[in-house]
Amino acid sequence: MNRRFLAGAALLLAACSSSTPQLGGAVRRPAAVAFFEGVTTKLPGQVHRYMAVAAFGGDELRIVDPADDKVVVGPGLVFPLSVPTAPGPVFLAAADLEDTDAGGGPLPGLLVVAGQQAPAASSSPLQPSLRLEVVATWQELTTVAPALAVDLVQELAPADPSIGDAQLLSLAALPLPGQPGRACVVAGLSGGRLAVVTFERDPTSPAHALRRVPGLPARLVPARTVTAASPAPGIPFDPLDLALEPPPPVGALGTTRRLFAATGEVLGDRGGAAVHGVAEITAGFAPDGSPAGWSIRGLDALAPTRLVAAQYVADREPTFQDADKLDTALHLEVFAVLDEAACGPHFAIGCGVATLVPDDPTRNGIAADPTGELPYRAPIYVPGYPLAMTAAPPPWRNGAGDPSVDSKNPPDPATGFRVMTMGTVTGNRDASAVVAVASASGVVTLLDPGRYSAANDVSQLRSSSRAGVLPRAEGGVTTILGPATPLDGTANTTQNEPVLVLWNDRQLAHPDPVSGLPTTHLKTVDYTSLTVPVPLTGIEANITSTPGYAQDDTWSIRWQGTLPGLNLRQGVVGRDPDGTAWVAAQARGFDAGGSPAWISTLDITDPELGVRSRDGGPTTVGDTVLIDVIDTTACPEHYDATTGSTVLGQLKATVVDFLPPSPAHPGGALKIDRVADPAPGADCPGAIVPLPPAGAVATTDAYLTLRTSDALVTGKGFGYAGRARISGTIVDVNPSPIDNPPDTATIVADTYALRWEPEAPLEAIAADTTQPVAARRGAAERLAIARKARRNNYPSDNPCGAGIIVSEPVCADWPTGWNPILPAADDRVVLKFRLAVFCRPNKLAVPCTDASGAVLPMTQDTGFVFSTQRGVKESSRRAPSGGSFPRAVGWNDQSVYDPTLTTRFVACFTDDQVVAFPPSSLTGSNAVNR
Amino acid sequence: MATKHAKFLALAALLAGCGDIARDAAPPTDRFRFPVGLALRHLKASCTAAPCTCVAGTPGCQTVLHVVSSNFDLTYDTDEGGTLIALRVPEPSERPATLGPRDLWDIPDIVPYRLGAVRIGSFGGEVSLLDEEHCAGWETGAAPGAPAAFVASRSRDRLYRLTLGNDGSLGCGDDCRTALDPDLRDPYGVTLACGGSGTGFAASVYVTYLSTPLNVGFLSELALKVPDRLAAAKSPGLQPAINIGLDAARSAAFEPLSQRVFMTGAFSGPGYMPLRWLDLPYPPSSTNPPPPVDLATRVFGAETTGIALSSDGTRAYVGLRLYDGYTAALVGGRTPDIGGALAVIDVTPAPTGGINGQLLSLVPVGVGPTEVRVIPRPGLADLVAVSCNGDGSVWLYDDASGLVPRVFGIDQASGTPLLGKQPAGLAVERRADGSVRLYVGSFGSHFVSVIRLDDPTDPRSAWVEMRLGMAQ
Repeated sequence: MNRRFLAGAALLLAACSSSTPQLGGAVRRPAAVAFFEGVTTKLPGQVHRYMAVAAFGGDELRIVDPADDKVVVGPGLVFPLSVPTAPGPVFLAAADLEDTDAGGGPLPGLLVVAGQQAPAASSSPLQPSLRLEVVATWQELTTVAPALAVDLVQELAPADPSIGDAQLLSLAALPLPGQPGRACVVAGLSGGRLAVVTFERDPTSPAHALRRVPGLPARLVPARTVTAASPAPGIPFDPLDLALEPPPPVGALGTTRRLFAATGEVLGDRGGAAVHGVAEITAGFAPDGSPAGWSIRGLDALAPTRLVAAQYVADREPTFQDADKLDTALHLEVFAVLDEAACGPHFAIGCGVATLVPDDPTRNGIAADPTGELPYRAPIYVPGYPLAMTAAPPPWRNGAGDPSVDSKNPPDPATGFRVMTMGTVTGNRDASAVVAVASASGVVTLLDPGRYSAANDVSQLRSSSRAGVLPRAEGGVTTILGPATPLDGTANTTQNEPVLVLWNDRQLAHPDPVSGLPTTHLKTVDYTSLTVPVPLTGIEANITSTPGYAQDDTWSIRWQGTLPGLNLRQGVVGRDPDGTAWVAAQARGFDAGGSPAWISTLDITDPELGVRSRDGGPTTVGDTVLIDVIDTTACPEHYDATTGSTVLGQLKATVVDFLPPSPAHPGGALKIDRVADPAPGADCPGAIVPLPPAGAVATTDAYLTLRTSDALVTGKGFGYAGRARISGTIVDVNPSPIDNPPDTATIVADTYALRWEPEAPLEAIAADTTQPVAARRGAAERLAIARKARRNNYPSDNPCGAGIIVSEPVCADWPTGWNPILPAADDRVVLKFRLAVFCRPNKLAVPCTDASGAVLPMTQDTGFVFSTQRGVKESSRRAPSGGSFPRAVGWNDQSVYDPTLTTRFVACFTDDQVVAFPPSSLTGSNAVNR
Repeated sequence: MATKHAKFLALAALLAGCGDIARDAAPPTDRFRFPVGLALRHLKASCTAAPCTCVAGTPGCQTVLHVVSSNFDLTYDTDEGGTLIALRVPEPSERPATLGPRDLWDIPDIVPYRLGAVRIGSFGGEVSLLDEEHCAGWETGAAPGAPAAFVASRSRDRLYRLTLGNDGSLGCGDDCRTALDPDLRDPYGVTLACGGSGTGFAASVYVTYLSTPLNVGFLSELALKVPDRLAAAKSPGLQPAINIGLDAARSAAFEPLSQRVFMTGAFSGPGYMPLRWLDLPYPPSSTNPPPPVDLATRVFGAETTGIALSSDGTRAYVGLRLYDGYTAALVGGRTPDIGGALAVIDVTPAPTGGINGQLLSLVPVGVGPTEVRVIPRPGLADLVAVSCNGDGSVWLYDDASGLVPRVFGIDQASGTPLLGKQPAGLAVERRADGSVRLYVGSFGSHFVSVIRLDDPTDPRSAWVEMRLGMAQ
């Protein structure tokens, strides 16, 4: 009966495995993955390529055969084979020894496992240790080989007595160049250390076992680079992650092999300059297998790095006319995830995956911008916090059955060029390499480094996903702010005011709906009818937001708007003995000695905030400070009918200059032009801050609001984006009949453009103390904006309409032939538009001019709100169900099993799943092991 | 069959009887029961005139540990079955000579060290102490106040204000119970915010709630001292609850330089994980809660738990309980924990207001991160302790190196967690000689462990110095 039950169960299991890709091999908290050549009970006596998965929660390895995605079972033939390891395995590294058996067949490779925590003999059982375990890949019943375990502390202590302080940070394995039958493990250790342990094939072993090289203990290589300021022994760095230089696409391996290390420390580049980025480690070996002649230099990524990967890549064809076609020249690229603590709009480079080109003698590390605009290639944005990264080449056996081969990108044996298919929602594309980045958002994002970008699941030029201003009809936010619909002439009010309008300078794909001709009028004004409401559609035609620069954001253009972050900030109004009045954002606190002192809550003079003064700033009109005075005796409270609430008395003042930090205002201050409001009916009848005695400062608590003196542009995410000048005033004196063009117009060609500009010159001016203060402030403000306006991606859509590719559909917002990766210099903008003031009588014929015919002032906050989008949805993969917090990602060339198969990625998720997928598949070919 | 029935009925009767026994029993004060919040006070021995605070490890200074027992299984009185116990922690000089240098000093009987004990509501949470040590000026200012301990009870939705004697005793007077907002449930976090001097001196206690109507988060403020300039608009006492936006708040931490109270959240779906803050200088607005930093854009499927701020106030260390966010989104509810992480977040003030909010680092830790505490190290970035009640571990993260140098997990010899089951409450004591004691409460084993860091710059040398309380 038991036998029948077991047979039934076996049949059931077999049926399950044949109908589902789920493999049934329990993996508890998988944390690392590696592929190795070895022998198991599944294929006795046959060296085969397997996948090892480190189960952090199970203190073991699981072995899977990627050829059929079945787990290797244990001796009982029911449960998965467990390869017990020291507690908490998190590192795996594998290497081929590049030797063969007598028949030319493969031999078992090196597979090493290690944990960040391993047992020790102290009171705490999880004390870190530097212990490496070697898996006996030559045994059919796979286990770790106790005799080959490496205690790095013990072996390295003679050379480095403080080795016990080190922690294992990263692990890599590589064949010894020019020494078939040998491979080594490189362990990145804290304290600026690289430990090297060499293994070799045991010539006496019939099973082709590995052994330590006799008489060769672990060796220590200092992880240091030198700079001009810090010559030998140089500056140590911690190798946070290691990536091995892949074999060259053609030709033989050299006598050295390179490793690339991500690090947060300063590195010395080839010229001895201090840089941040990736350490390039050139590894050489003496005939006895010991490390010899290692050299290390820094590759400049403009920021510290956390993760690293390397692969050979072929870029887009150089004319950029056909985004599908790739150049056949391959070059080595190193990919590095930048440290989020040192990248972004306050630093030299934005965050994401930077591309480095170690073999380009014209570059010091980071690759050049293919469009020649930025001084470096823009990092590729990855959603979520990156946790692991790898870079994979196309399948080596690129046979006739490989679907990745197409007419545009045939293999080139001369260069080794070949491609693989990368699937996106919008279609397949050939890629010369694919970078996979696993992030805490639970997905693995696929990057197409040959096109300098993430694979995009949406069209960036066409359909509602397109980059640019999102039309209202397609879900965009579009609002007109200001007086109630004065433009349509229907407002039954005795008041009338001018409004802000946008010139239609683009005249692209939005012809006049009646005539079909390009529109030449102000788009927000419908001259042909007096329909209600004022058209909110069409704003997108008046604002340029270019693919590659457009951002996901909601923008506002407001006349005399409130500067971002400067609404009701707590502060004080102060007065110096000489009568100088100022405002500062600060609160009462204590100094380091415990004495009462002012604590700055904001450096209100920071140019990034955008405050401009009358006397010292780049404009001659100072911004306005609205001061809500807390002292109700000086400024009585009053009832505000507009809001229906009681408010503090308010004082208006103009910013006339910037005051440097002082004990009275440690965060700097804004000098203002008054301390009392002399206007009729003012809320502050007297001086709210009395003149202090000599040598003292008088203050009054207040809430501060800063409004610009002109039109303010802000993004909800972008923040302060500068000021837009008025480029014309249009007055339509007589609304009937409708005029087009209007009666009078004063036109000034002044286009607002939110764009990147070279940062280095601005930095130099801002830091140059010999420059006038106004010039330095102006440069600093422009620098802050420029850093936020950097190009954020390189579109890989083909040119619009019938460009070089006749079959390409037209674009909604761009003319035929327009190439998104190479916009005209004038169009390289986050935003561009031209503002005007428009004035016309309303329905009751109330003019918006005064008796002299002068246009009345606009109401504060008159303007527009609209939204833009990048047009990028990074293509990613995740587990069919669940799939959280991926800890590791790897790849395997599946063509070793079947020439028709392609490269496949494997991701380890913390919720006990290991998911494998080819980049060509969106969802259909996943194999899940849990 | 009849026999089975009889056994079932007998078992049911027994279970029912067990339930009845427990309802009004007084909680024990000779042991901890499901300890949660921990807090430390340092008192000069035999001190009679306030302030009696002193620096740990100096001659004559005694460490007083306050432990909240939560009566989590309601073994005792359902109303006030919890306790706050204050006990003197023995000094290293009292260590028995029979013990080896790093042997565990086990003190199961806390009675000889007990200085005071009071009953509080069941399901107690965090505890905050208010005295000169925790709030400079409270006992020595123009209008000195009495030292007090604040702890919330989830069973009665109360905030307890317990008096602290200069001899370490505890008391609960007639006015020690403050009823919190009846619409808000499960008060848990208690955070003291204090600062200023003279007429500008201010002190308040902020209470977080784990359950709120429509999952809109609220924070209650018990104003203890209102600065003179706000006296016209605000009186001491419980203030109207402050709307902090979607998602209840679990814990809070006060940053004195920026005068901000930062708050973690509870669970409101995998697509939203707010880190919020309250700018104390501004009048709170119930209609305009401060905009949060949404960490879900960087980490999908996580719930924030404990929070601590770096010594320089620039970073927040936030515990993250990781779960399967995609399944949670599919089923519309929280799925079980699959792991844990410590998030390091840049909370430096942004020029445009708010905080920069960048996720600087994500450090994998044990399952179920619960509480987070900072161990300051002069001249060096902080060491951060994280208790993980899911797998019984306590992790030390070194923010100077970005590494985890020490984990206290399973005792390989016994197979049990070294610091007891479900470690939760944490407290840090910096001592005069530069060493540090880290107190860890074991929720499931009912004792408190003391981890000793003789040299906080070398956290790998940390060891378990003593255990206070009886393992149950």
